[in-house]
Amino acid sequence: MSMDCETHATLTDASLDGELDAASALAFESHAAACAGCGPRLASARDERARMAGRLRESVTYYRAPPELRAGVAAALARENVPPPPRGAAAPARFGLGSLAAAVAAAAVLASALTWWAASELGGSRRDPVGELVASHVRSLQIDHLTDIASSDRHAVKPWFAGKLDFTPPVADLAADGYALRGGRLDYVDGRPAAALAYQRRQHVINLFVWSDAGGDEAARATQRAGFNVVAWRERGLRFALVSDLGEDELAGFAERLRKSWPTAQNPGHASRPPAGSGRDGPGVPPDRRAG
Amino acid sequence: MGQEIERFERLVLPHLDAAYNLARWLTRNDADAADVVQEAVLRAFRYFDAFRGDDARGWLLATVRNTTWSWLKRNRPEALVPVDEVEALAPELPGADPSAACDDRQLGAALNEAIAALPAGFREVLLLREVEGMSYKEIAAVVDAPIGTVMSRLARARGILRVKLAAAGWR
Repeated sequence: MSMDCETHATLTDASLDGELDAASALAFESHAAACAGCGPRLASARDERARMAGRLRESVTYYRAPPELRAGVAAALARENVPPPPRGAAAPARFGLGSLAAAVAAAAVLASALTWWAASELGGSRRDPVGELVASHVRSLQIDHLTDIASSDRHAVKPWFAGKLDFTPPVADLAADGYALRGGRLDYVDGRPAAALAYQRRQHVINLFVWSDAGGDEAARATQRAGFNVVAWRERGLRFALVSDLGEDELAGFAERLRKSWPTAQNPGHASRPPAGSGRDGPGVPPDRRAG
Repeated sequence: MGQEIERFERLVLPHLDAAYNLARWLTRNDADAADVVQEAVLRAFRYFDAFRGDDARGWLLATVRNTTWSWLKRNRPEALVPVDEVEALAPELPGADPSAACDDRQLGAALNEAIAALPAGFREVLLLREVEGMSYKEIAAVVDAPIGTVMSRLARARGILRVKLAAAGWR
């Protein structure tokens, strides 16, 4: 193949970029060797390329994705993972059974407890409780989705759940430690109705999900999904899960504080408020509040 | 579904910076670039099971480029000069100053300005080649044009830059 000068000029950049196929490259070099005009022109282009090599890449601004974009992408992906919540889910079964049936039920529950994390971490089965939790958390960050009852008073939030769930979620007041209660709402987790308590620490929203999950106590475990931290444990037949973009250590610390602040089984209620109905506590106390 | 997100995060999200850089250079501001990239990443994820190749970066950038151009057509049509109508500039070097300081920051500023002034169709091929180090074939896939077109746009983009830099004192 022979090449004319105009073609040679046009192909110079491609040659210097190493993008000519073997046949074209051969014709290109042959023409340069034989042409008094194109030979020096190519040499000068090579020099310029050698001088500027890499300088554009080094000097030009490279815009990196800002953290808000990364978080927004993570949240959007988490929302993509949402299976629709079950409509009209039945109340959880009770464990008022005879001893054999109870033992079988307990074994089944223990087995499901062992797979609860495994299902989420492997992501292989269709059940993905961690993914659901993160998706619920992200949904709740939308405007007006965070709380059904917006109150920083746990004595208002806790009784709100009565009649809506067949368990009472413990609600802690940790405002003095920098965790403000925003309120509560109903949610669904793992096919079951759940309480969601919304807290806030600095700019971070934290959802505490609570639902019925009979079985032995399980120590707190942490995981991450789509950029969010999740800490979950089980005690007193309830499973708890914290979801937040708060750092892992702080979230685990919050879990510890929550567990320490709740009444124990021997002391089912702080007697910090007089029983309902007395109406004689002064102007600041509504008479129909239940003790916390 | 959870494992699809995991696969996407592992293969595609490492190229989020490259995606943002391209969108930012095309849209010319941070907020629009972020919007466009978010939309593009979501679209890329929804079509992710159609991705069988081994070039996740090219695949993401193609989606981002496509989304950005749609956005530009809707929101800033005046920015889209059809590049094949841009007249080729003569390669003379007017009044270059050989004593111009070889300062990287000044070069960077001059390059940023010159690249920003390029028509979008030239700007994108130049950046994909010079900054991302893509081959002509990879660039052609991202900008959805034949390789010959990529070659000629790149040569012309470099020609324009050469003239502008020389006018600013660079050789």
